[in-house]
Amino acid sequence: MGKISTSKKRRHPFVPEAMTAPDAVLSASDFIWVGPDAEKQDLIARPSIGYWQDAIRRLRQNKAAMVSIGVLLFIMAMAIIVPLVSPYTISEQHLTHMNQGFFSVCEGNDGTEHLHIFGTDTLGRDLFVRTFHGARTSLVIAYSAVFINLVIGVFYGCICGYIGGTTDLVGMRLVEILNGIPYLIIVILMMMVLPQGIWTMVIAYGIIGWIGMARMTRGQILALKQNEFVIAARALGASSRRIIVQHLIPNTLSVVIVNITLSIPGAIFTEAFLSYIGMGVPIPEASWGTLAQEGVNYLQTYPEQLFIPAFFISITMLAFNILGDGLRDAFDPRLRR
Amino acid sequence: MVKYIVKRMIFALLTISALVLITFLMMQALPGDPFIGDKAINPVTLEALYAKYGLDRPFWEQFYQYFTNIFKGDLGISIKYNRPVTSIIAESFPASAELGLRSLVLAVILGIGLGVLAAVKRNTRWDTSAMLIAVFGVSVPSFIVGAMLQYLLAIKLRDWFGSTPFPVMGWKTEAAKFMPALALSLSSLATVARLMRTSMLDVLGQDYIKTAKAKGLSPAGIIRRHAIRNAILPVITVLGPITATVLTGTFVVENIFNIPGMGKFFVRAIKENDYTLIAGITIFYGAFLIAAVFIVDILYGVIDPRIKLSESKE
Amino acid sequence: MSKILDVKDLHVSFDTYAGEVKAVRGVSFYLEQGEVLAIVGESGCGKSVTAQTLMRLNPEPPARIPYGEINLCGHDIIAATEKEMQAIRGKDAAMIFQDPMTCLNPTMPVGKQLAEAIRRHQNVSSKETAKKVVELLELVKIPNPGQRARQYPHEYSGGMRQRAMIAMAVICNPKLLIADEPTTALDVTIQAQIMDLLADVKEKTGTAIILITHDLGVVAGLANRVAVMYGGRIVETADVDDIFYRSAHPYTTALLNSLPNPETDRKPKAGRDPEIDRDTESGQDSEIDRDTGTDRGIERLVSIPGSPPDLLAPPVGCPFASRCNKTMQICREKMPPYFTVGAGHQSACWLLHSDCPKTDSVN
Repeated sequence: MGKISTSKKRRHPFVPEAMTAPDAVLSASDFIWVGPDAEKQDLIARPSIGYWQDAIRRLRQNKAAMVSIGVLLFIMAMAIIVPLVSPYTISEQHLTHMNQGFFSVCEGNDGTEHLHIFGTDTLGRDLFVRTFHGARTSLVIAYSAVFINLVIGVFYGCICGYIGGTTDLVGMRLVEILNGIPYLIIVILMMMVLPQGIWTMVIAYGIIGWIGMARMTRGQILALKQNEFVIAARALGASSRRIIVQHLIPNTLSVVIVNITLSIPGAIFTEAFLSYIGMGVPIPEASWGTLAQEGVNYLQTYPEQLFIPAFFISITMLAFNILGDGLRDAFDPRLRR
Repeated sequence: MVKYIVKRMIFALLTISALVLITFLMMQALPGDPFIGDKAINPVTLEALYAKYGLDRPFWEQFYQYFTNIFKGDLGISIKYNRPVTSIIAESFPASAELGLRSLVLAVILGIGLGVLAAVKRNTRWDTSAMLIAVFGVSVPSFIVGAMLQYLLAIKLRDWFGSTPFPVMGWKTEAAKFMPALALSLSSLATVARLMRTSMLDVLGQDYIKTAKAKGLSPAGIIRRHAIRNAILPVITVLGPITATVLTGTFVVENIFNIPGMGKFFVRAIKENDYTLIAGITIFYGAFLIAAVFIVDILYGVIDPRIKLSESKE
Repeated sequence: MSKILDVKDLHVSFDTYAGEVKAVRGVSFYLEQGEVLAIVGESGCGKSVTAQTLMRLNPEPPARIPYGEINLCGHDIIAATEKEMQAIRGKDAAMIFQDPMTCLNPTMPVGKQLAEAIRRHQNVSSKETAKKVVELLELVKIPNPGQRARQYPHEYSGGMRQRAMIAMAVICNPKLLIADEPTTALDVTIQAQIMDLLADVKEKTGTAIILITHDLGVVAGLANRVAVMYGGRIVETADVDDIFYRSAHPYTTALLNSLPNPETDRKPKAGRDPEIDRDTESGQDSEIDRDTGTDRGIERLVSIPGSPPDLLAPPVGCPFASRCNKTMQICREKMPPYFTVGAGHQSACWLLHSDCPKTDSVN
């Protein structure tokens, strides 16, 4: 619907090819019968590329997604390395160096110099090590929670979708009812019952977060079940287990991968949210959520204490979202070229 | 139509019942005792307190009591405030509802606008920037956006210009109400915008758009008369979940901006182990959301003429 | 009679990521008032692209018109701006599409969709518009038109939707109606009704029709002239009788052979070369099969092996060369020019060249 550019110069003078047929140059040899070209007849014009190869190739071309992968790998590497090599522990206080800014160097009581890359918080704790320790906590919670979602969700969805009938009906009604309840409410209730800690968060999120995965897997399985190759496998006497493992799961994989990638930010958000309302990991543990919660109190005076964890929460969620979108596009058969 | 509505209604009621059951079970499983806290209470008083709150009766009886009370509109008495939970909700809900409604309206209007813009100007800078805003919106949690807005609009503007219409906290002026509403709406706005763009692109590829073009309608006319209405339908289906997101978000945003809403009471109740208040707000809030989703379901049937509501969609 | 449409050497390309797809590569034809021209060809031959280009309905980009001329009722379509095209679409030329299930807006009453065209092109009161809508629905034989106008498309059957589409197309009395595969998506029983309706509408409104189809069978009843397209080019154009009984291009002949023939005992026509029938059938016993089959009154349908050329890299010679069983050396090297076979009958095939040996002696 864009502007249509029309110019007369694009048009060439009209000369029908019929008029230009040069009778003279043709010789008898031109009229030797050669018959149809068998090679060309069924030639498929474009080379065929495998599904996964094609997806990876297209993901590689997606610059934003590749940058996201880089960012995530960097953050994960830092989360592993920084707490290992840091001269400070997460709860170590430097009471003479509180609320310092970036790259502050302070002289300790023993005369050695302390470099605080991200500065220190209001209790004089090194924010650099706390931030990347927080990354550990937040990412472990997010990955574990999503892993639980994956296992329960795929299992539940496969069972409902594959068996169908009453099982499916009951299973899906149950999911629908659970889905009607806002998940954060259930997570909050769970958090209150269980003792505070990382694994409580994982359980609380995992116990409700699988619903989306289950619905999606079921939908995929239902659609795939109708496909000829599954019917063929069944006709050949393949067992249900074999059909699920060999045929259904591999074909659901791409959708599952996209779904996992896109649900990690949700888990990170939930952790931050719960920490923020005071239900996070117990002190002196650090997670991005608790760091943000501690930082918000000093927003007026030391805004960087909020902005550092806020930056990492946002950039990680952003990277996972972009990567997820990229994966979805890469796997989308409609976008294959 | 009637059959569909009844069916949806039964579902909504079942969901609410499940919510009540879960809440009740959680309350039962809670470690600690609301009355055994800071100071020692003598056993006689404790028993009297148990009797007063019905904690001495058998499990099922308590549940039955709890359940019937809720349907009578009695959510119990707050342990810390010693006043009915319903009165606390009645007092705090209007602020929450106003905040929620403001962000919902902002999210839907801006989201649809952004989505339409991105789809119509597909693969241009407009599209890229709109989708950039959208991906930021879904990636930055509302409490961070809220704090950023506080920092920029309230603190920094004052630093730079000496005064700012935006107070750091509060719920009095329009300007004060704008910041939390925007912070809260951003993620839903992003969801709506992305969905609207996808939906719009889908609709623009439909044959009836070609028909309209063949009739001689202008691109603007086609978008206004044919595309938007059809593209909006899928957006209506996410209104339910979006309402949930927005209302859940009020919990933190109210705390950041010190808004006297339900979320503030809820967070305080968590810190003070005020179980009846937590349970009451949870149930009220859950029921409210379930009702909202129910209404959205019905609304969808009314707007889309293709959906024969006599048949269930699923 | 005057020409209402004149297309000369039209080229249409699509710029895709894989490269430039040359969908239409030099197509010329014309249409006179009240005439019906059928453009026939298999999917991907460029017939729909040609039709949509007449109204500039292909999104540009990716579509591009490198050169060519289109004169529609005195308008220079290639040079027209989008604004000018909007005034032409629906008024001078209208179009109906293949799938009536998807061509009507599902959330707007049918009558309102019809009225849109009037409101766009004519300055009439809403009362008159409503009257005209009912009138047109009546013309396309939709029962109870007053009530039906208020209904939504999903309340219509497939055939009725296509009727409504036709009504919508002719509501502003266009001089040209382009029907792009109007019956393909419909049940066989409905197809004949729609074709009858088109003939009827043509009779009553005097509009010229371009009928795009892949099915030569639906052409016979309605069309005056036929243009056969292959690989982005018109390979043969002739009056409808000439196409059916005196086709000169192997592709046309092959198309005809792929049609079921109601007169099973009729002898192969002049254009229907027994050579082709024999060669395109597989197996050595096909000859016997064919002969005995014909004797018994059973005719075998003959398919064309292979697939159409890839228009990303179209062949330099005749597009049909790789599938034609009469291919000669020159066919692969040079695009055949149009040879005049009879009055208004042109065919682009090297076999018709004066230097070419007699068909029988080939092979």
